[in-house]
Amino acid sequence: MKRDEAIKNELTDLSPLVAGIEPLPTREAPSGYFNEMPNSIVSRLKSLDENSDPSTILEKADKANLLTVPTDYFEKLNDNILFKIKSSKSSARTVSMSFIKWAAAACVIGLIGYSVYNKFFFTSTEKENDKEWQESFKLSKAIIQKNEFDLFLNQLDDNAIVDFLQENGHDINAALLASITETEKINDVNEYFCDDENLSLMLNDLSITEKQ
Amino acid sequence: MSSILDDNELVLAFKTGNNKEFPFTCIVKKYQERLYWHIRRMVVIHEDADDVLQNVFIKVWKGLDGFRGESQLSTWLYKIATNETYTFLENRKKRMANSLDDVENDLANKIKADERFDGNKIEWRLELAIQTLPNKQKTVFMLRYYDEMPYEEMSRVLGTSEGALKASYHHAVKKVEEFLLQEQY
Repeated sequence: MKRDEAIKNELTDLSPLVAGIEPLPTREAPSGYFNEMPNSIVSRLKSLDENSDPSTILEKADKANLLTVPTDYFEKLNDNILFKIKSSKSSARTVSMSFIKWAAAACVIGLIGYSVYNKFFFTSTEKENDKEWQESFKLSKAIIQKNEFDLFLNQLDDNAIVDFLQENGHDINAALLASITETEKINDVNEYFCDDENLSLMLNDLSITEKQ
Repeated sequence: MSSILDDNELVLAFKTGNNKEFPFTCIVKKYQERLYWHIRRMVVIHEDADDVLQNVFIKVWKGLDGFRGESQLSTWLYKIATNETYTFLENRKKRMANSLDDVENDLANKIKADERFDGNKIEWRLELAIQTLPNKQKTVFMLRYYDEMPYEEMSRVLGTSEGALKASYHHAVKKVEEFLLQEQY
């Protein structure tokens, strides 16, 4: 066998021992193998084509559908889908409303803060005239003393909370969005009482300015 | 028959002609021996080489319509043959996962099982030495040593840079030499 000179020289440089070995085929293919190979491949391709041709397979297959569906499945399908859509909407509203309570908590804190503010900064005449706030102060005090903040919130009707927020000029959508996006970061309820910054924000939010 | 048309014409005839069998058969006849020995040296026994080679040509039949001619037909065929051989060896390795023997020993044992095997002949010892190489080095060595393939083409077949192939060939030759020196009787 005539070898490529460049390749032979490369191999000689790397290993004269290996370069000295004549690369003779040490194995043999069965007699006539290469003569039969093209026909063998073509025959195999034809058999593959027959087996993989979808039309042939379908012709051979029983046309009866072996898969079944529950009785009236398709008749009820539309109603079931509509029911699921409504359920998902209802569920979404429930979740949102639960967050409203957190928004309401902020307002109640503001209310308490305002009551406290009244107690220490308003004149006695003003305080007597502001019966509504006196009532709210009593309520707030009772809630704090009995540690019934959560219980109080749970008793509030969601719509009432929304009404309250709206009457006091709060952006309900913004409150909802903030509640939903910040759920993971909501502080413990008690922290609201201790956090001066939050309390100041609530007071500002209710347009209450500190009186000297 | 196959000498009438060159590779490009055969591919064109396959893609556009009514009779795909003629150009395909020409391609098989032209390349079967080269690909067979390329595969056979890797898998050792004829039956395995035959299985792999048939799979290679089935893939060629299925893929030739999509062959864009960006490389030579021979490069594309070697690439398919190499990948099919690797797949075959990997599958055998998985099947042998629970066996005490490994693929290298298995291939070496198959060489020794050949009735014409003669451990005193350096050609046979070279065969054993090659089986000790990792698959990639083995392929590089075989393509260079037996097929005398230029690094440029080998780079396209194996998808590796020419520099890396030269280094791989260098390591392979050294390992083969080391084996031959150790195994000298």
